[in-house]
Amino acid sequence: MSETVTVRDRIEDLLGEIHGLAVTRQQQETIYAVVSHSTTWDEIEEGVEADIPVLDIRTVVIDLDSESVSLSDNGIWTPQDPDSSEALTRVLGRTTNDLLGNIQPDADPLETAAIDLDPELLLARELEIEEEISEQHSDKMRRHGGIDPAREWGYGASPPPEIERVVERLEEIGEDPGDHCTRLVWGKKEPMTRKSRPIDELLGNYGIELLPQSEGLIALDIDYPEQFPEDADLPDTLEISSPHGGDEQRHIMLHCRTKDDLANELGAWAIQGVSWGDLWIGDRYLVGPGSQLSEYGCDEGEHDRGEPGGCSECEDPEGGYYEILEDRPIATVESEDILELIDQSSGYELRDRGADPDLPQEDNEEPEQLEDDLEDDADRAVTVTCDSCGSALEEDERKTVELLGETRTICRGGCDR
Amino acid sequence: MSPDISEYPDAVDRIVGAEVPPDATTDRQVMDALRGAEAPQINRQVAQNLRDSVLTEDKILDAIDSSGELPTEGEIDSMSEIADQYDMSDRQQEVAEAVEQRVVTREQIDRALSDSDPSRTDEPVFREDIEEAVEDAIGRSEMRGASEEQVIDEAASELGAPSRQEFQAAQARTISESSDTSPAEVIDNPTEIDGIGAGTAEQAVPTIRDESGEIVAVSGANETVGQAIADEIGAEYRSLGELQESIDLEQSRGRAEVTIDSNTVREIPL
Repeated sequence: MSETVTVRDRIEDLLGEIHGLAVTRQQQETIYAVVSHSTTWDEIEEGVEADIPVLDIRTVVIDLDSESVSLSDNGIWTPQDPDSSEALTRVLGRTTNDLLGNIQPDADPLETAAIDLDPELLLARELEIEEEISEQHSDKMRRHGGIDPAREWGYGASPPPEIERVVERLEEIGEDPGDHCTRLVWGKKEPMTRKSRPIDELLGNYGIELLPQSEGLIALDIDYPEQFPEDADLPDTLEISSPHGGDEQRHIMLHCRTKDDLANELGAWAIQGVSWGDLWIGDRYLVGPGSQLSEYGCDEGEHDRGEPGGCSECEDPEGGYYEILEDRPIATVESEDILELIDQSSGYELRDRGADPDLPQEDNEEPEQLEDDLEDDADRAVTVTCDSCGSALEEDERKTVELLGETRTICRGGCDR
Repeated sequence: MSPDISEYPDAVDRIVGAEVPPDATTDRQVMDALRGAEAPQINRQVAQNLRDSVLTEDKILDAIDSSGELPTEGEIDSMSEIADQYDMSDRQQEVAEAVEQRVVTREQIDRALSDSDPSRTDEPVFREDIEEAVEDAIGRSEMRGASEEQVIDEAASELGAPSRQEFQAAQARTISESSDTSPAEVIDNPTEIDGIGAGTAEQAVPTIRDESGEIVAVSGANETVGQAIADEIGAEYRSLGELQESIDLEQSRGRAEVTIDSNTVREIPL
């Protein structure tokens, strides 16, 4: 059974007698109006038993299509006295002037109905509050599985404690950690940006950038340890394991004094296709030890990228970690040591590097020309990485698109993850 | 000036999560959802800022257009990931799938053209066949990144496919531009051949030569003369009708060649 009532009647049914109404917006058949009325605290807030008089101001939604009037839950209330109401009126008046750009230079933005309280002093008063970190979606972190809630850094508080060891190892070889460390997306191994940050700005997962420079960090990405040459002559060094493949699958970190020679010889800052994995010289990054993958960041197993459901290791709140496997100083090697390793390995064919003294000498101009090209990063074909997966790309492997006003590079054909 | 709401990921996440369903994948759908929201803080400016910053099909389509090529499904996924500034995996998936449904992808064209690959069939493939296959593949999808003409041109070049008319013209030119050759030009003692006298030894017949100038086919009304020349050079004497039928099309990547008995007579520009 229905009855015919006016909109005013309906509002007063819901709120009682109103002091005033201001229409703020109309969206086709839906009208929004702010209404003020007098009531008591227990009428507007659940669980309160005090019948203290209050002035309540809230939005009323009038839907002419469905012929309904409803109250929003965005109300404000103040004590029901004329001083409060007047202070509120002045603030709204000030707000109106602000929006219209009509502010008088000496107009006071602050009002008070409390006689003994100076609002200027109130605003200047200092408080100790817990700092909120919003950049890594703290709320969302808590909803994702596979991150140990006992770890503070998992909620954007600080980087993993393992960072301290990484800092020490980098400083031992004269590298500035702030030049190498970047933030990764929470629970994942993808970069937030490739921009390096001071250590105290790191939150959660972090990356260690291998920079395209003449000297510095390089890394061996061992995916197939059984293919690694048994007689490889490399010094003991810092090694980092990933959550997958046991400890044998790992990253070996080294420092190379002649990185540009190495890149020059290989013609790239990173090479793939070596039987045991990849060699990274520059323009790539390692996931730092202590970083933890969530089920959203795991790329093992049969699930769609971006969907939860990774491997059992990453789904486990106590698993999914990148760890320091061998805590050793980062050893220094020369480019020849790495080239020797590549020579011993299958899967990647080095160019003919050395001249046999019994054979006619070959023209040596090409390496020098490449060396000049190496200094001109902008023209090098392989210093570009995919903005989606971070892979280093040769010229014929990349595609350039304009996305959200920026020029971006992606893997031609899509990322092979 | 008040800060842009797009600078507050938590706020964007909260508002979009509450007001915009994941299947609202276009700018317009997002805008409609936001403008219809009850939250009074979402005014037109806020709604526009949100629409401009969250991932939608429109942004991916613009990126595809800028690339100048048809996208692959993998590239659509990559672009969606980059454009998702707020790590909204549900939306990312919906938008990527919506774009893949909406546009013609490289995979669709490759599938359509795989049946047209001349290396898999005994029949020549012409541009018209490619046009039909591409049109079928497009269906009701949008061509973004490249025009239909561009795709057809690329496929025709890749498969070595001229139009039927071009091939027919090449056939006709092959016959009309035949060279006249007499037995005396190619046979040391032509009169020793039965039926070839002093007069017929100088009688020329039409011959087709390959790119290097070698005779690959002989024709002409005088079968005795023609056969004598054909026997001498190891070619085949054919009537005009038979000659026309023997002209083939050899197709490879970037090349379309008119051939007779696998000898290339001329190339058809693609």
